[in-house]
Amino acid sequence: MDIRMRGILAVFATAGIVGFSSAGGAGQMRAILVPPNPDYLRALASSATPLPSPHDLSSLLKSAPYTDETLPSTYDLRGEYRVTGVRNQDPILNCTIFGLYGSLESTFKPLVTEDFSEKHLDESTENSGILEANIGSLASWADPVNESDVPWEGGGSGGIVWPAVKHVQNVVFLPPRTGSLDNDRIKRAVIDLGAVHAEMNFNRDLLYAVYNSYNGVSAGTGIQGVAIVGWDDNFSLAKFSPQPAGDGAFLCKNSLGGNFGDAGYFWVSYYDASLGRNSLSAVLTAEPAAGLTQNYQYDPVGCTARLGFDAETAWFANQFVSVSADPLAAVSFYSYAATGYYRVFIYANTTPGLPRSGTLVSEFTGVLNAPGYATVRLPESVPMAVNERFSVVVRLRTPGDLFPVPLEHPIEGFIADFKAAPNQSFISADGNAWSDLVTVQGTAYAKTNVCLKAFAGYPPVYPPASLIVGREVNDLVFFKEYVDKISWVAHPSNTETIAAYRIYRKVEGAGNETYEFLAEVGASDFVYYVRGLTEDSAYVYRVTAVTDSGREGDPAEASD
Amino acid sequence: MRKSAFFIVLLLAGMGIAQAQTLEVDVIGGYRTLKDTTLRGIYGNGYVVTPTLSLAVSKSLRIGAEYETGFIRDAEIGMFDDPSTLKVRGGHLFLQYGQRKNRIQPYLKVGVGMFTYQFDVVRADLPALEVKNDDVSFIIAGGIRFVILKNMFATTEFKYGALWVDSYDDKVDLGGLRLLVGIGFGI
Repeated sequence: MDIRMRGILAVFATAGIVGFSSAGGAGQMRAILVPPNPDYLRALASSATPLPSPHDLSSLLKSAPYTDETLPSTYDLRGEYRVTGVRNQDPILNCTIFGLYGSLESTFKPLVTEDFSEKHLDESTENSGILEANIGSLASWADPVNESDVPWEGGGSGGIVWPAVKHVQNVVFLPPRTGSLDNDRIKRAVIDLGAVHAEMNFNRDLLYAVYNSYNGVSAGTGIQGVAIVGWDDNFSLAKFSPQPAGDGAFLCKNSLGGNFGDAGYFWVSYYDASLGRNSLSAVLTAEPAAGLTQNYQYDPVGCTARLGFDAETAWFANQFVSVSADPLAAVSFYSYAATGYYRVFIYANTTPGLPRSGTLVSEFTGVLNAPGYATVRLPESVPMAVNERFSVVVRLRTPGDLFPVPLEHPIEGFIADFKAAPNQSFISADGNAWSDLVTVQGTAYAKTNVCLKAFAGYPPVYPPASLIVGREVNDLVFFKEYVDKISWVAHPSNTETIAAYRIYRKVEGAGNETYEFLAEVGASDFVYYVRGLTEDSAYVYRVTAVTDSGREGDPAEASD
Repeated sequence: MRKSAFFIVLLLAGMGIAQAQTLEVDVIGGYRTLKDTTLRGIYGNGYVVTPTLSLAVSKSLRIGAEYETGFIRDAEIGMFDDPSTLKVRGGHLFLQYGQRKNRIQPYLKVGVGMFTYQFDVVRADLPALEVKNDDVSFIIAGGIRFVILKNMFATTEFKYGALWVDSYDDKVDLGGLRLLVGIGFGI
């Protein structure tokens, strides 16, 4: 639901310098909460939606300018079959989630086509106009679910708990554009990852219909989320009204249906006053749900704030109790610096309240080359036993950013059920003296947790790629038999040996629970024929890959 | 078509009964083509055998009946090479005219055929597809009879019978040419 404004009087009541004692009484730490983003406060005061990032992004704005001479002058993801269909957000005006899913769906293309439920994501958070809230839902595995399960124009999830069909494990944040020609980060992300979610001021009446072009002159908080799918450096300034200072435009996918612009797309001038300038742009990527099985987390709301110790380096940790015997395989956290240097420690059989107690079972380092939400794999999975208390400890250095610790922290304007408990999240300036977040500074952090997740499970099993269903006619002279030819190729990302493929079918329009098993074919079979159909029959098919260990992957879906 | 065929049969039979002089039995068999090119590409040509019974109604005119069978062709058909069978058989009533000169008697034969055709396809894990229908068509033939003994003769015959039947979305001709040889006896 859109933000219900509450005013800004109490915004970031805990902002500023907060002093508290370490849990072990080993010394004083001076923790500083990140200041609020002024644009967020302004938007909150003006009841604008969507809202920009609630926490200060100045560290990202200080990033060195990024230029890439190798970028082409024109590019269009559509030409590479790397976009999904144009959606229509009517009758509800919530475009952020459409822009996000425009990005996420694009990253699966061209190998796999997905259509995720904006409705379900909209229902998952009261703050679906805020990027961080949506990422929080996605990273918590509350989303995405299939559009066919919870359609936009349907009645919602109907009380059914739909499991996430993919696991969003990485989100790349692109800092706000600092100028009209500060575009290379976005361009590079489009080529390397897929469509980029960005926000802009938008008024449908200002579309210059002759060229389906748009040049907004009003700066300020964005009110429309779009997906940037390409660009043309030579798109003439004469094709805009009002005319910008120079040539060049991004090709954007809107969510106003196919009748808007050029079949749902429009050109936004590089000189537009708001596109990607006031808030983070982002690209989301996800793994198959068949892989990581358990998400240990205390931050389902999302990263609403950060803190630090007036230094680029900080330590943070979470203690979890395992609920399955699946091995620990990965951890995830946020970084708001252009580059993040991390060292991760995994401790097994820890003592409550002491994150670095127990046995050190894994330690590794790495570098995050972009700000955002990142999942890093353990070099080797760590065996777990049910009900085992373990700790994930991270030392993160974020050059240029003095607030390395990502937090799920109550802030004004962010409506969510923030909650925390002792022995969950811990912070430290040096890795030696640790503080339990909920026990310091009175109630300042009583509902605060560290955004640090641990994942148990196995390597992902990707679905068959390039799944196509074609209706063919088997001419038997005296009969015509209608046949669906299902074909696919092996997904190149699978690391485990695929032993078989399974084919399922449902009648088009029926619920996904009606899928029926049709057949299992060998790993070298990439075509399956469904025979005995009638001319007017219509089916949707799913094909899954099965590993030699018996794990069945996510389905790819296509209809005849 | 069926009515007219039935009428012709009655007429021929009546003539035969009224003026029967000799009864002959012969068996001829041989090569039979399949006219429809699509089906011929699948099943190819085949062989038939035709027992015949005829009555002389005058010195040069005979009426008779024959039954053609043996055209049974198995082949794989369609996208999936399903096993299938095409069978065509039928009874013919005919009027035969020929003048004997010494031991040689060339003749012409016209008649009507009541054909049965059957087509079936066996599909794995699916019900079999089957067509079984009757249809009527005309036949025309020409041949030479060589009298070997007083009551024994050899025959060679060239016969054409058309059989247009409905396929799924068109008509196909299950007829074809027959090149037949045989032997017969007078009774």
